Amino acid sequence: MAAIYEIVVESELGVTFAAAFEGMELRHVDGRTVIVGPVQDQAHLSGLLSRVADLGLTLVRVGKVDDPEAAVGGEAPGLTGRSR
Amino acid sequence: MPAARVSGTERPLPSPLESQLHAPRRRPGLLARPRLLRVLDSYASRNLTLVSAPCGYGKTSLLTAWSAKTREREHVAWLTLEATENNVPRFLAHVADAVERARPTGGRRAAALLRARGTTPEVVLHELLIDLARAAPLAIVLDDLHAIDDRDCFDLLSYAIEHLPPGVRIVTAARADPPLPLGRLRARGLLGEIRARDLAFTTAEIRDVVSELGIVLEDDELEALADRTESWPVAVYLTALWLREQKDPRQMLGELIAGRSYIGEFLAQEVLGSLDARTRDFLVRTSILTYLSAPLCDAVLGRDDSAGILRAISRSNLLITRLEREGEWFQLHRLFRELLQLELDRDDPSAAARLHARAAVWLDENDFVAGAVRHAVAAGENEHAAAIISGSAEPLLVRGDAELLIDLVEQLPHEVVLAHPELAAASALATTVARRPRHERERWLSTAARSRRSSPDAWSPQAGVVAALAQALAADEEIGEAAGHARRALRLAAKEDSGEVEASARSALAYELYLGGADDAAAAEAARALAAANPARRPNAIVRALGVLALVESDSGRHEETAALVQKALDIVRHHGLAAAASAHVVQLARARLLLARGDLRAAESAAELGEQLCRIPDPSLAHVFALLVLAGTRTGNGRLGGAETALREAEVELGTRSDRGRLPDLLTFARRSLRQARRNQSVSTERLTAAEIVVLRMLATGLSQRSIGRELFLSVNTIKTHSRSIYRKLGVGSRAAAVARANALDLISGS
Repeated sequence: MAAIYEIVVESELGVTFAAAFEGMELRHVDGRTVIVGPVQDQAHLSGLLSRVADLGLTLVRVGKVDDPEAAVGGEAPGLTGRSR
Repeated sequence: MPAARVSGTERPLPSPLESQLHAPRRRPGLLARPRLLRVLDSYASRNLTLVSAPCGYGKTSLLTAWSAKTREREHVAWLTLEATENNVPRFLAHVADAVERARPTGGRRAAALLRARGTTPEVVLHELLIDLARAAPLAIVLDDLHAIDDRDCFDLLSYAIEHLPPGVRIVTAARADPPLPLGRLRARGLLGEIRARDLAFTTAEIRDVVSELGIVLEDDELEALADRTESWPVAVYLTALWLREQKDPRQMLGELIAGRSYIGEFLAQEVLGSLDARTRDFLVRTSILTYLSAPLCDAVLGRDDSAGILRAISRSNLLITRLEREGEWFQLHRLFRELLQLELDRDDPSAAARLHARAAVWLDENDFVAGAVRHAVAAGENEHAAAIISGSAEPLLVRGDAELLIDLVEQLPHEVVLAHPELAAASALATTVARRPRHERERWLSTAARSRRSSPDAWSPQAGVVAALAQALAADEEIGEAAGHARRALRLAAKEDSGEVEASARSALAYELYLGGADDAAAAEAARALAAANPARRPNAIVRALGVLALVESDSGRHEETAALVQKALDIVRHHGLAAAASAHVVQLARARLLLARGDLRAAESAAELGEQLCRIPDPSLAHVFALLVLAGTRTGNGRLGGAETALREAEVELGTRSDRGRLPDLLTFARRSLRQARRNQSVSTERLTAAEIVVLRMLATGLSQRSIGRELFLSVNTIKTHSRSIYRKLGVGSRAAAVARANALDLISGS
C-alpha cells in the first residue's frame, strides 16, 4: 500500500525538471519546491531521492505525510510531474 | 548469428573501456585550482582521499588536473567506474588493469590471475597488495565511485584501504559518501577529505571563471552571484556562458539574482535555448548515450555530419568533455544530460526507445556488448538483447569474461531468459569458467531445464551441448559422472557436427580419464581433441589436451617428450593470454613434475603452486586433489616437509567423501610414503633452537655479513658468532650455507 511522501528542495523547479518526478505533484512554496505524491515503497523513495541528487538539487526535508490535505501549505499553482 | 560473431573472438573484448583507464582530457579554459591541488598533495600519506560532493562541483576536473600534475613525481593509475564494475571480480580486474597500465609491473600478476577467470577474490587482492608494494609511489584514482553499490566490492575496498603498502594511496571521487568505514578511517588519520564546501568557488575563483569567458563583474555583483549560485561551480560556469550571449549582461544578471527559480534548470535551459536548432536537436536526441562518438551519433540519428557538430560543440565551451580513447569520444556533463533527457521525453515521448534501439545495433556491431545490451533493454527490445547476448556468449567465454556474460543475462526479465534456453546454458558454462560455486551452476542448469520444458521449440542441440560441457568442465563431481557429461556433450556435438565443441568435450574427457587412471584411453582422447580443435577458437581445449599428454608422458618417464608438449602448450597459453585460465593448470602440473625429475626443485614447487591455484574452486574437485598431491610431491622433493604435510592433509580432506577416486588413492599413498621417507632421512635428532637462534638463523639466510646482522639486531658481532656456533652444532652442520639449507629442509624459517 503506497504512502504519501513529501520531498522539499531548495528553489523553484520549472516544468522541465518537474517532469523528472513522474506521478508527483509539485508546488512552489516560499522559494522552495514541495514534491508530494504516492510512493510505492522504500525503493521507489530511494529512486526519487537519487533523482534529486542527479539534478543537483538541495534537499531540505523529506517525510511521510499522514494527512495529505494538510501537507502542501499555500495555494500556489501546482506543477504536475509527468505521468505515463 | 553465433557463426558471424565468432570472428570477434580474434579481437579482444577489453574489459574496461579504454576511456575508463584514462583521465579525461582537460577542457581548455578550465579553472586551475591551486588551493585544492595543495590540499590533495597534503594528503599524500593518507591511505584514502575522498572527494565527495554532488554533481557540478568539479570533482573529475580537479582529479584530472591533479593527476596531470602528480604524474611528474609519482605514478597515477586511473579508473572511471561504471555499473559494469559492480561485482567483485570485475572491480578487482579493472583496478588491476589500471594499476598495470600505470606501473607495468604493478598489477601484472593480479591482472593475469583475474583477466581470464577469477580465482577467489581474496587471493587476487592479496596478490594485488603485494604487487602494489612494488609499484610505490603510486596513487590509484577511482572516479565516479558512486557508480557501484555492491556490498562485497566495498568490503574488499575497505580491507585494501586499511592494508595498503606504504607509498600507495587511493583517491576517489563520488557524488555521495561511499559505504566505507569513514569514521574509523578518519579517527585513525587515514582519511583525507575534500567536500562540497571545499569545492565551492571562492569569490576570486568566480571572478576568474567569468573573466575567462570575457565577462567583467563588479565586486558586489560577484558576491550576489556567489550567493545566488551558492558558489556551485557548474552554475557559475553556466551563468558566465549565458551572460556571454546577452545584449545587456548586467541587467540579465540582476534579474537572475533576484529570481527564485532553480538555477541549474534555468541556466541549462537558457544555454540550450541559445543553440541553433541543429545543435540543440543533436544534443537532445543523443542524450540517451553515455558516451558520444561521431559514428555512433550518425547511426543513432541517421545523419552523417555528427563529427562536425561534435567538434563545434566541444569548441563552444559547452559542458562536454573529450575522452582519452581511440577515436574521438565525448561525454556531456551529467546535469546537462539530465535536462536534455527530460527535454527529449517532452519533445517526443516515443523517441527514446527508437534511439536506444539504434544505439544497441551500432554498439553490437562494434563489439561493445555491454552497452548494446543495456540500450536494447532500455528500448524495451528484450528479444534483441537476448540475441546480442547469445551471439557474444562464445567470444565472452573464450576470452574469459564469463562474469560479464552472467551479468548481462541477469539484466533480462526472467521470462525472456526462459524463452532462450541457450542463455541459461551459456550462463551455466560461464559459472564453470568463472569458477563460481557449484550451486550457481546448478541453478542455471535448472533454469535451462525449465526453459526447455516451457519453450521446447527454442531448445537447440547446441544448448544441450553447452549445458553438458558446463558440467564436464567443472569436474567437481565424481570422475564417472564428469566423464559421463563429457560423453553426453560429445554425442550431442556429433549430431551438431561441431568440431569446436567436440574438442572441448574430448579434452575434458581426456583429463577425467587420466584422473581415473586410464592413461592410454586418456592419451587417445587427448589426441582426438587436438585433431578436432582449431587453435584460434578453442585454445583452452588444446592446452588441456596437451597437458594431459604431457602428464601421461611424464608418468612413463619420457622427459624429452614431456618437455616438448609442455613447451608447445605454454606457447599457446602465452599467445592467447591464458596464463590464468583453469585449463593451464594441467600444463603447470606436468611442468612441475618435469622440473622435479630434472632436479630444479624450487621451480618445480612454484609451478605446482601455480597449478594448484589455477584449479582451486569453491567446491572440492578431483582435479584439485590431484594438484595438491603434485604440490606435496614437489615440496617433499624440495625438502619443505611441513608444507608437503599441509598439502597432503588438504588433499585427504577433499578426497575423503568420494567413492569414485580413480588413480588418486594410489598417488596419495605414494606421496605419504615419500614424505615419511624424507622425514626419516632428516630425523637426525635436532636439538631445539632458541627463539634468539631462530632470529639469527633467519638473518643468516639473508646473506648479510655477521657484522651487519649484529647491527640489524642491535647485538655485538661476538654474540652473533656465539649464536651461529650453537646453531651449527644443533643442526649438525659445519657451514653457514649448510645451516640455511638444513633450516629450509626442516621448515625452520619459512613463513617469516
